[in-house]
Amino acid sequence: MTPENRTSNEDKSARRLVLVMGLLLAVLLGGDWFLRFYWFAWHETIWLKSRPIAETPTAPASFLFTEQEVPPRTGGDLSHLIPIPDVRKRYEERHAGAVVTLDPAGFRNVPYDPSTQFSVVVVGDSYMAAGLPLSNQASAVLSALMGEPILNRAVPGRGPFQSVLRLLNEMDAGSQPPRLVVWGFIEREVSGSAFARFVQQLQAFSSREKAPAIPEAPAASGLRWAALAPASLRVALPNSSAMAQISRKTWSLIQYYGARRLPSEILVLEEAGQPPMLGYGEALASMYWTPAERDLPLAVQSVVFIRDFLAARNLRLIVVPIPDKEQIYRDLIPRSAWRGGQPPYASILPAFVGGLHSNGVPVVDLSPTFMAARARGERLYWRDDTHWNETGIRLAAEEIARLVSALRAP
Amino acid sequence: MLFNSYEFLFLLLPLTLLGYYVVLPKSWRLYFLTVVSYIFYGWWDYRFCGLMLLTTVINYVSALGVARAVTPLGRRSWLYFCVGSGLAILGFFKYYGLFAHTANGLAGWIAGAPLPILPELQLILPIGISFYTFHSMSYVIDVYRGAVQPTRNFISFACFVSLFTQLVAGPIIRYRDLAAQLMARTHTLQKAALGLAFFTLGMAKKLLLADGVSPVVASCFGVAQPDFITAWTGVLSYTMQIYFDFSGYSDMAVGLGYLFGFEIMQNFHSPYKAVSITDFWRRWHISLSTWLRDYLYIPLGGSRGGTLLTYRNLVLTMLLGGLWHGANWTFVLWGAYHGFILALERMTGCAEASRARGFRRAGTFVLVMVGWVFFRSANLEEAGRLLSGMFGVNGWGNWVDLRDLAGGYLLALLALATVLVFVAPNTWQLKWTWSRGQVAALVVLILACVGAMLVNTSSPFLYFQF
Repeated sequence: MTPENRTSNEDKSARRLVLVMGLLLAVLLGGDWFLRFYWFAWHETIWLKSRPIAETPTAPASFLFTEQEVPPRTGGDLSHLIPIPDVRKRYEERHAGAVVTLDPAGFRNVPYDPSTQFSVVVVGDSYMAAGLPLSNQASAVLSALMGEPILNRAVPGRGPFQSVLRLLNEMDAGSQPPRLVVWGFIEREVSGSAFARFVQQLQAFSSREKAPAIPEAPAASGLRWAALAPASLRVALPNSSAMAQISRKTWSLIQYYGARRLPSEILVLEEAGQPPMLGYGEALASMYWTPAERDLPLAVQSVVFIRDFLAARNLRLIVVPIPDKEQIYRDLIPRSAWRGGQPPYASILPAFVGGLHSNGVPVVDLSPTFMAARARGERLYWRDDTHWNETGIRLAAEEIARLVSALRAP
Repeated sequence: MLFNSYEFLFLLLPLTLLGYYVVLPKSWRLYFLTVVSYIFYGWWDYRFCGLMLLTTVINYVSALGVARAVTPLGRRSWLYFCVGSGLAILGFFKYYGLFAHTANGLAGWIAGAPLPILPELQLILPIGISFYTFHSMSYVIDVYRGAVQPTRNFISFACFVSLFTQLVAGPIIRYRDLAAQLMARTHTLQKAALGLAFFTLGMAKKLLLADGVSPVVASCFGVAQPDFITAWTGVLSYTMQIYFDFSGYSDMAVGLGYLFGFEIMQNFHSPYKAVSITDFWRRWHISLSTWLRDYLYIPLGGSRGGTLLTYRNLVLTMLLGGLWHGANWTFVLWGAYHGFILALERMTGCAEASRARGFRRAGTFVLVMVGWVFFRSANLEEAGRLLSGMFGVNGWGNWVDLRDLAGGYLLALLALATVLVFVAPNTWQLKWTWSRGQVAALVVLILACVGAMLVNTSSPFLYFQF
């Protein structure tokens, strides 16, 4: 073989590796980016569909409610993280199905007349939107308790802030009668940085003519630049990656079949005489945030700003922070799940609620209620899911109703 | 940015390869690489870029000043200006905290009460400042010595200082090694394949081996009073962790360099197979030890001033080399430890002996492990705690407790890592034929690495079912 032939043979073999790796990269990259938009709907977090607040209310062409059948299912969002069916069955509960009605804006609401004046509207994350059948939803339970129609505008799966933005989008400030906004979100979402980022969004959103009291800011361009900052991408890209979820599933399988261990994102909370309950690893992680990382003062300041922002639009805010399941049942957290051999920090809700009180923000303190209910033997959350069940929703609704009547009393 | 992150592997690197090979004209390549390197670096904190640019400009101008100066005094002034400013910037950001803390401690001890005489500033340490400061200083010193011609091409110099392949964790590259390559380099399939192989192996070493044993390190070092077995297991795991982490990163840097046509020097050559500490420093972080030799040891006098001066130079060089690693007295102690052993070996001449290699290899390995205790400990108390455990002060301990502490699988991984380090060839010694088997192995490895990286950096997706 001449040297030239040998070199070209080497090159041909080298080409094999380069082609295979290149193809692999192209497939993984292409698939991941495609699924990021198609499945994770990442564009909804970076593109804010905001329209300027209208001068006059636009009447919808037709006011139709659609029916949607939600089938019954076994298992919740936590039990679904267990990849082995036999193991998963141990923790699953049966969740009833129901037929739900969606109003023209796409939210689950008991059918109402288009001329209905809602003086209370419920916003928040998946906890405020949870509940099947519809009569178990926070807004419906509250409505039954208070004897008046209550509008549900809670948005599941997008955290505490999206629903507030959508409400502002939909509403027409100024020409509406004053409304109470009941804003509920889970404890582990409370952090100074997240709330401060939302305040920045609001500042970009505000319209100058309608709210002269609010500091001026340029109108929203649609693109949330904050979502494309390196710090956000560092977190957002792996979290919206299909490859990452496949890797996690694979690793869970390896951990289980290799070492009989459940995925680290699940905690098993066992109480004597009770079937085991699942907890969320990420919630436990948030319970190890140092005070500096949590930055409660900034979170409180941000909520005060939000209160003022909404007040300038004739909206009166009531805050409902929902206790973490892992805090209510913290004595059941296994020692092996402790980080660095130390127990997690105590609940931040007392400090958060206290901070809001001292700033005059109406807030519902659910921690004592939930702890008392637990002591009575009531279960407030699903066993196989991060969310609260009917009992939890009902308890919260009772507290909210109490606060609302207190606020309305002359 | 880190090499093992989503945004690098699936955003910056593909775009860079696309721009470099497909989209942009060849004459733009250097500009492009420089811009990409600044994006890579500024991803952490855009303010870091300004400092690096300042260092680049100072060194570029100083080198031209040295070359153009007529008098020896003029040339020396430019050199002092450059080295002085580089060390001042490095010293301020990296060592001010240590200096202030120590000074305040001493003042308080003398005065009998806390007496902060220097404000303790909260400084963010710009990542990689030690590396790019050394990169650029070596250039001006070489110009002063006449070893290399200064460049008029600012972009070429800026690219050299900031090149993302070795900016953050080395190898420390001399300008003269890269100068010709910056202007003209070949891009062959063979190089690309080598690059991919090095990158894959480096990532595997770092993510699978180093990160794999790191929980063992944390567990063992966290024990309040470690017994003999726990202490030595902890130190052994750290020995493995630091080697696979650092050499893995160097391999990734070399691999990325090859992908863009650069041939970068070898930084590690099976250091734990060394037969003496002298030999160890010819195999560990080779780019740093040669840099220290050429720019610190030899200017101090090297071995030309007689035995006592030689020892002084050895200890001093190693001490400063230790300090370079981090602003902590433990690093200085580590450096001094190695310096003294080097002097001792020179004194007894045992570095030159050629008998009992296996025994000397084992002995050197133990000496290196003891050194790592200082390197890893956050302070002298921790080092003392571990050393007393290693010398049996807290008893022997037992294997069952160790397995409970560290986990059976991880201990098996540690054993595998140890065997590899002594028995297997290092990444530079592998013969690449690009057979189907080798390609398949590399593909499996890189998939495992990407999976591990994604599991570590992502959160579970709670699919909302309602």
